[in-house]
Amino acid sequence: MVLPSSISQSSEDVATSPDAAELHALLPPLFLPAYRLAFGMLRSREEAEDAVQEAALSAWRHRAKFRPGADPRPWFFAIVANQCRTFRRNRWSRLLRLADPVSRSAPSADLEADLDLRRALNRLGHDDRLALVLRYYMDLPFDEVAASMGVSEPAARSRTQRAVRRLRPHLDPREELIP
Amino acid sequence: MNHEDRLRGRLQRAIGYQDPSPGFGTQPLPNLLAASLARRNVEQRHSAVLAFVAAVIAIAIVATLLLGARALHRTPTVPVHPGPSLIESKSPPCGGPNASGPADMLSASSGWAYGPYHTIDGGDHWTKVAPPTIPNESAGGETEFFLDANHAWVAKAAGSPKATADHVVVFSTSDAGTTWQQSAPLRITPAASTDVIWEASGSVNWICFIDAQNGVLLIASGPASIMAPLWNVEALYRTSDGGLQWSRVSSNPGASALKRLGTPCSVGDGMSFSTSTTGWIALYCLSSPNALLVTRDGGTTWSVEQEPVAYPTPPYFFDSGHGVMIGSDSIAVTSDGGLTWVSSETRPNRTFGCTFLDQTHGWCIVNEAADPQTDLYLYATSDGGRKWSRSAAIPSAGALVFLDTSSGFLSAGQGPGTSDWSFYKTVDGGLTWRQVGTAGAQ
Repeated sequence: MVLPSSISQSSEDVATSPDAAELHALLPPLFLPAYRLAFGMLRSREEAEDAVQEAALSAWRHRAKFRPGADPRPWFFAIVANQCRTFRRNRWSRLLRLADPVSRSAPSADLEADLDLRRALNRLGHDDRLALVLRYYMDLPFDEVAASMGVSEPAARSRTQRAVRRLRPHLDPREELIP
Repeated sequence: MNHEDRLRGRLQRAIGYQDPSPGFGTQPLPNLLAASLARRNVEQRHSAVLAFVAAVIAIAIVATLLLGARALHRTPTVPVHPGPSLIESKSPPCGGPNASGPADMLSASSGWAYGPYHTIDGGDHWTKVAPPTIPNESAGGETEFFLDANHAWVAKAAGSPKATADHVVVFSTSDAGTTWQQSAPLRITPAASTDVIWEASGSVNWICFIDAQNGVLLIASGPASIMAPLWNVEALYRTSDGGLQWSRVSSNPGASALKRLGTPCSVGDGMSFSTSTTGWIALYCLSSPNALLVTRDGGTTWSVEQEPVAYPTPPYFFDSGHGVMIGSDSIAVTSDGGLTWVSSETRPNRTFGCTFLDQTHGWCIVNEAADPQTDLYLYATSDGGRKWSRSAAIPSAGALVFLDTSSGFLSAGQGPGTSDWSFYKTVDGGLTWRQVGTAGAQ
């Protein structure tokens, strides 16, 4: 197995480090679900792939914090989510973003409502968007949403509820508050 | 198909999906790390060039502005940051980030927690001091407000054989929960018989008091499901006798102003009042930006203001003039009672709540997320949010309360009676935290 030079020269060499060996087995199966999470947060294939790559690097560097035997999914998802936050705040990343590939393939029947909901999602803060993506885009149970966000399960439910409340006007335009 | 399934379908369709590049996700870890390192090296080179160019441009802009300002002998028209703020109350009087948090400490020794529970020894011991139950009490339909060591209010929604929730009763105490007084029921007519009053969400303020006598109560109703469509803001009530008698000052507050706005809106993160006459209700609207309702006559009439930050919690005030509004990505400050807001400040990469002691001193809990369970840090600002610095690790994500720049409390969970409850204290500005209250609740 050939490692990048800066990694193979690390004092915590992969060949002799049990936690590193564990990561070698645990992380790759998470790349595709992590990509889906990143795509849900960023809606860009390039940025989502970059975010997962950066998260893998971050996970590698912080591997000492991973508790052997623990479920790596929420741990890695949290790192991916943090990378997404960094990407969303990076102006250059957004400016360099190319044409939106998804909008072209969106169903035409509810296109307007979808675009409206998408704009509303973009306006949400990171935490609200993350809660919605984990719960309804990734289809995770609340205990995994909570673990990935680093909060208790009741707090995860409360955050998701708050995020949905913020989206409410965009969920069903036929329902109006004003009589 | 239930509400959650519909929401899942809507979100998945709105976000869409695009497969990753061929081969992505199948490469071994070292290859992925190598790609990441290579990309980072390229970006670092680009960043160095961009930083140099940006620095040159920034110097040119600053020099131009300085010379221009001198030439015009002009002084700034917008007070970005005032001098020392007038701190009249250690706790925002009506609304604020912790008004509905798990706990709200009002002094070093006395405080309240959701339940309500009361402590007089700094959180070592909590005593449940809940008012009595009422017939057909609605699950979750309860909102609480704590003014000081002795005064608190609990508003409960209840139903009847015909409706899940059709009236509200307000309990008040002036002796720290030893005795409670009960108001007459406030009758509500929800749109549907299955509608509920108030959601079981701790982040919303529905009741608050300016002082021990004058308070406001906002009633909102809608379907119980979190996927429910818009909620109605039913009515605003006021009291001037400490909560025994309530009078309706506005039905469907802001409806005419919102009608002119021409977009459907739903109740947002509740309300706040800076004085007995000036208050806000945060709404989420179909159009962008969202609306913020403001009243300057005690709640009788409301007008729409455009929010200075995205998805704000209702603003909270340190006195009648100075306040802070915390949005999803930034904060805004006011020095004139909310007539104008300066929203140039940004928050750190926030994952959890922020709190401000005054207009200059604030704290946020940040999850740096290398490990969601351990990498929680306190970030602090002492210049109104211009600069944030990482202060120290923090033991739990929860609600922060600072009494001064040294003493603070952190509470997490659903209240002292629940299994996930934890409560911490700092006396050194958040550098170290000590768990208290291990004696539990009574």
